[in-house]
Amino acid sequence: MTAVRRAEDPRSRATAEPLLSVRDLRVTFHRKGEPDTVAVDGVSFDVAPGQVVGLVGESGCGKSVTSMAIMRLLPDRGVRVSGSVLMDGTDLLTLPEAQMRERRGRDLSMVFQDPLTSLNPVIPVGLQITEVLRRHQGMGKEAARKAAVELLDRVGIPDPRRRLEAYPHQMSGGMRQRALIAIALACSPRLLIADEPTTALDVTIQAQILELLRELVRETGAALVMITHDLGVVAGLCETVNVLYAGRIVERAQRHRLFTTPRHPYTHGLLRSIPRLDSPQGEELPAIRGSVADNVPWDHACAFAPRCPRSLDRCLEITPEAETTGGRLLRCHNPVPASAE
Amino acid sequence: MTTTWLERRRSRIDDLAGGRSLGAEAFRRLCREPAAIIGAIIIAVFVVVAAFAPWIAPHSATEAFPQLQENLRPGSIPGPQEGFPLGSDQLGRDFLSRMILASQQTLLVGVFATLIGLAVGVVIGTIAGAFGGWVDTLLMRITDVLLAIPSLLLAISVAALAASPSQTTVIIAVAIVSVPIFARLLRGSMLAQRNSDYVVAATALGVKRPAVVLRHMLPNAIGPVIVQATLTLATAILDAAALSFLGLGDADPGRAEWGLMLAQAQTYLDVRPALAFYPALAIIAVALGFTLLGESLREAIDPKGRR
Repeated sequence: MTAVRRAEDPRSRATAEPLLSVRDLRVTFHRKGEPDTVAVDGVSFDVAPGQVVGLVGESGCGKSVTSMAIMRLLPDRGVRVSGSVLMDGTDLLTLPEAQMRERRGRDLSMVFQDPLTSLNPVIPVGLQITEVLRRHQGMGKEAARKAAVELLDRVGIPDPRRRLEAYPHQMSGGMRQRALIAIALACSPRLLIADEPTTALDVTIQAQILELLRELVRETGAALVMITHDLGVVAGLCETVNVLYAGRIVERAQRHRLFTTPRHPYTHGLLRSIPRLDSPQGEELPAIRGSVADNVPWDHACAFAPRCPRSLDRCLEITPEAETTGGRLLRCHNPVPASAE
Repeated sequence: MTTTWLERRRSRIDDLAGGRSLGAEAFRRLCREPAAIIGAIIIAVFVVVAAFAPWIAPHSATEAFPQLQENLRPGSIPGPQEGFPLGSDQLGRDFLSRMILASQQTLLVGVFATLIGLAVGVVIGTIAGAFGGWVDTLLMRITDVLLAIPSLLLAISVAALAASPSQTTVIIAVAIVSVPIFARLLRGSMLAQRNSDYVVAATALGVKRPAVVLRHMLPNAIGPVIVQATLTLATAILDAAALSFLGLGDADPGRAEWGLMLAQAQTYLDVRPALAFYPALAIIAVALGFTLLGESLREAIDPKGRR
């Protein structure tokens, strides 16, 4: 109950100890005969208990790798992860694998992108839920079954008792995502990472799933890290939004401020490229020119500079540092003026 | 509104599918395949005959009958007659009874060799596929070596190593031949499971490693191996017959066993070819039965198929 109340009161949250604190997270992929690829390049952010934080960016900007690194699900070989991921003062990155396994699913869990492939096709859905309950809560067979029925009911699956016996292929995509969410929330984790949970679903189901996530987060008081490329999802759900570009956070602000006054040219471009109902007919949709392939390394430049409409000479010479002013983080030499929009 | 209607509609479609598991679906497809039915019938007849051989066989396999023996002379072996539908063998024993009782040996050797090969192969394949790294490399190099040797040659070498040839050595020899096939097959499909979304998802839920491997990966990977087991039964029966034919089976020459009977019949091929014909036919039919069923099973489990 206290968790719920705290989640609803933004003032107490501001002072609350962060639940998860990611500091200078860096993920490098090595491949023989090729230069290293830095997928995540010094990402830092905090998540307070009960808070919903968005991680937004286009494909390849490192959003998913960030989440996998937090969960420690990246392969051991060919990947180097540095920095720290503090949860309750413990660095998850240095935790022995056995202890990390204890925490996964219990303290922090994850909802994956593709509900069609994230459920095991040969195991009935019910067993996949009870498995987690029995593993972490030490429940008996019957107790776990009962809890599984309640969970399925809570995520809005009709006739949950019968659904326990169903195989994943007998459920629709929306239902499977609901089941996955039920599994992820089975042990009431305090942190839920949702990696594009709605990309594989059609639009109406998307809305339902987002609504469900919002409700569940409010009910359980869990913190939610929402990873998405869809600004619509962010607008409806997240309180704080981190915009990622080429492995670095380029802008972070409260949702409302980010949407009304985006300061980074990238955020600005993203928001402008969303089709609007009230834009004049026949007008071309503004787009960000170029593609991720045009990026320059962050070493001595701003990675976004080649695509940036506001780039200056020094954008290609000096790496912009992240600066925090008035609760907004910005990494830009020539930000969009605050009054621009 | 539309969405709830849609979901209700979807659950109705699910109801029509009737809670069938993937296995049940595959079985349904299997029943529609004529080759599978023919294979199943052959196997059923074979298994029933083998199981009830002592009751079905009119006589013993080793008893020589005076009424057959008195007509036995060089250049002539008595054919079918009253009480002996397939006639005599080269020593005046009832050929039909020997044929029937020999099916027991074949079934026994085939099933045990396959089961042992399967068990060992599954353990090796699971370990290699689940752990990867140097364990995988080591195990797979060993299987590579075994696979490089022609299967019959390998079986002969193993059987020849035994101090005294017996049925057990035949079973072990044939089993060893099938181990690398199972191991390699399972390792491959385990590897494919390792990076699958649901394995990552299970790991993300804190499921312990052995449970991930045994509960999530193995059931998804085992399908092709089960199919292979059916096909291996056919080759195991052929290999076992070949070993007996070459005199590497049980030392008792009076034993009823198709491969051995075939070998002994060679001498009398011009006198009474039926002595060679029936054992050969039996071996071929049984091997064909298992092959037909195995191939159909492969297609039923993976309808998209490779062929």
